[in-house]
Amino acid sequence: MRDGLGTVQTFTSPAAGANFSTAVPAGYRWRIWGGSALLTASATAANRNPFLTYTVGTSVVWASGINSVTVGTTPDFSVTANQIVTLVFEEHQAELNDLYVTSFLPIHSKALWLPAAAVVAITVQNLDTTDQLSNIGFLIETAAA
Amino acid sequence: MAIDGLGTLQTFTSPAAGSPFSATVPAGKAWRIWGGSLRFVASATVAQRNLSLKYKQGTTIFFMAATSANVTASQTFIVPLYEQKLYLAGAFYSTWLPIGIRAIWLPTGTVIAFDVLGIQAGDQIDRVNLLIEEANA
Repeated sequence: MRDGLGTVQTFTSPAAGANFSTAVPAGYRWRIWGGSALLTASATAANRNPFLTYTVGTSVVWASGINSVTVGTTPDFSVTANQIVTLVFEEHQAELNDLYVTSFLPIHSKALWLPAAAVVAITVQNLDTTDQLSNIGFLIETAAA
Repeated sequence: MAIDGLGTLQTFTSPAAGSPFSATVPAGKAWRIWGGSLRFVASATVAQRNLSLKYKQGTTIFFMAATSANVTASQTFIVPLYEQKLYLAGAFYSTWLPIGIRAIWLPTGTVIAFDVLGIQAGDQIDRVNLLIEEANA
């Protein structure tokens, strides 16, 4: 397999108010090169903090959180009510500026091989019951374990 | 079989004024983009514009980078595409902006898009060049 060549896989959205997770299939390993998801926050006032995590067994081997959502006189490091935020997962934090702050933010990822049964999860602290994760996709390089 | 790192510089047709640019990796091929450049000419209309480079399939964005400064009315920006962030200052600051890029293989159907947030009807993207290594998918 050519280094870095993968396919974009899209995933079924979880129910409203639920986090997302998927597992590397048996007999395979994955290397995730990037991806994105959409977080639509409800009108409920709360500070939501999305995280991308890789879990192998009981060990969280990778976790990264958002950098910031709102840039102004007081940076806001959470997703707040009624915001629709595209979460972009990539190895390096992208250049961003204030025109994107309410619609885009980066989350780091790593180009490491994940073994079979490893769990890739998008977890949102303080997720409201009517918040929605959707449009979930990853660029995944797959190889036999 | 492509030789690692060897690519060809491809020049693309400019989009219509007021429109973003996109190109798609052809069927049966994979692309690795090593660099490139484009020009963005802002019209006299007062507005803040921000350029971004995206790799995406459908709604999945698996790479995005945006310019760190906004473009204002009547400015002309030449945007070099490099893997790492560039630091430019002085005489170049108002005309050059870095956009991050990553040398991954882009699968068939990937859309390489230059979007402009706040684009105006008279704005123009042109002189789009990409150094592309192509291989069979």
